[in-house]
Amino acid sequence: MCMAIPSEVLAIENGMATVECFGVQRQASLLMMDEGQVKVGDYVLIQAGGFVAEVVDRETALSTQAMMAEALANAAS
Amino acid sequence: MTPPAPPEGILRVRLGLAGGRIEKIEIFERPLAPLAQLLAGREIADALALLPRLFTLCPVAQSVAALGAAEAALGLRPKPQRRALRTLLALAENLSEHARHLSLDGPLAFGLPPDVDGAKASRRLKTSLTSLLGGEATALGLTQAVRPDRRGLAGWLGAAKGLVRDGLMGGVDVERMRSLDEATAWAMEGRTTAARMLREALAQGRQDFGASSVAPMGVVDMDHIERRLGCDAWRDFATRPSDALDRCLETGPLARQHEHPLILRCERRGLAARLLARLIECSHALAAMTAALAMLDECEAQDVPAGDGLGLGVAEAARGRLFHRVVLEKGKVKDWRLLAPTEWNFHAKGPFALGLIGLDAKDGAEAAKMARIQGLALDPCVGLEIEVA
Repeated sequence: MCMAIPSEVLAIENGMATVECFGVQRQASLLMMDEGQVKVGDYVLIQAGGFVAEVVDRETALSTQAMMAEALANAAS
Repeated sequence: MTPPAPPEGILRVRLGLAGGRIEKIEIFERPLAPLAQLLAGREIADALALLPRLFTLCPVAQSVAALGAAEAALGLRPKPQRRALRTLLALAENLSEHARHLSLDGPLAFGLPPDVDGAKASRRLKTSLTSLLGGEATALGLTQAVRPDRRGLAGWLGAAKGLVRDGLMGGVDVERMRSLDEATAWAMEGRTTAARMLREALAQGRQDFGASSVAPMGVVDMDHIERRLGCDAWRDFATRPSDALDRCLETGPLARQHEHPLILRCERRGLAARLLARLIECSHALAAMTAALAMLDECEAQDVPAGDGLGLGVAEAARGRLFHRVVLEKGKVKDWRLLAPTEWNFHAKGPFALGLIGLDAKDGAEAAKMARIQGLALDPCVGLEIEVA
């Protein structure tokens, strides 16, 4: 499934971001992003390979997360 | 209810090693996008506006396939300027994806330094175009008016040409290469990460690595795809597709370019041919985007009829062919199904598996590395979780 659910940036250190989505924390590289483009508290999309690919506005990110959570829960039940 | 972990295209693969060879490959089905659950009951225009938010990894290709399906269901014929707009956006997305792979994750898989500036440029290419066209929802939508910024677009095309001709090819035109010797000479000069990737593949004797006997996807019977997707309550077809002759096919750059003169000169179509096919597509994209820009014009807003119908839409994403099947009732979504290229290429009888079976691997680590390279060569958007038994 080639969907990407926005993840929140919890910390940034040495070009790597610690991100969280649905309670799962992961590390993602900021190599593709410009200096200072991503900040703690931002919502980002992560591509396969673990690269942050895009910053998403908070409102869109939260509504997308809510929609996906509901759909995935329905699909699993 | 706790939702599952973020599902960015992760595919679980188990490799079976015996006697120093890859003897067996198990590919575990990945969860399919719950599109019907997300979109059923929505007005078609609302559903189309949601899609780019759901499929953020290749939003244009997904939207183009979905628009085609919706238009077929409603009996609409898009105007030439709207088709030109979609063509431009789809080509730009594919070019951006190819350039990212050739600059970043491709070289990293070979242990080579990435071209970070090239990777960033590939990302900006995609994001800046959508803003010049008024944003994805406006530019791609079924009904919205479009007001392209012509001067900005001319500058954008210049940047795209620079990315391909200088950043990827180092001043050499892949279209002028008439033999593998010329491609090899270009690789040996090693001016770009793409050239150094090919040089490394040649140095490791892996130019034919991952070649398989799987037929390339050409013209497929659309009625067959529509019928099978429509009678697929258990999603057997959407997870293990086949053509009307019950064959699995390869889809993606190599399949699209398999009759290009340079590809025809590749004795076996493995790693080198896949890499060259991507470069050929980048070069083709420049010419096709130039033509699409010339056709681009303002589009006025239009109404969507609240009709009933069934439609199948198709788009060529960077990683392969994508199908959407939509059923509408009084202008609202009744059912929505999708067939992604991953399900062809990572099929048990597809090019990923058949390109690896029988290859020598001295241990599990080497087998896993080979699987990663094969996966990346076929579809850089699929992350593999590999275990070796």
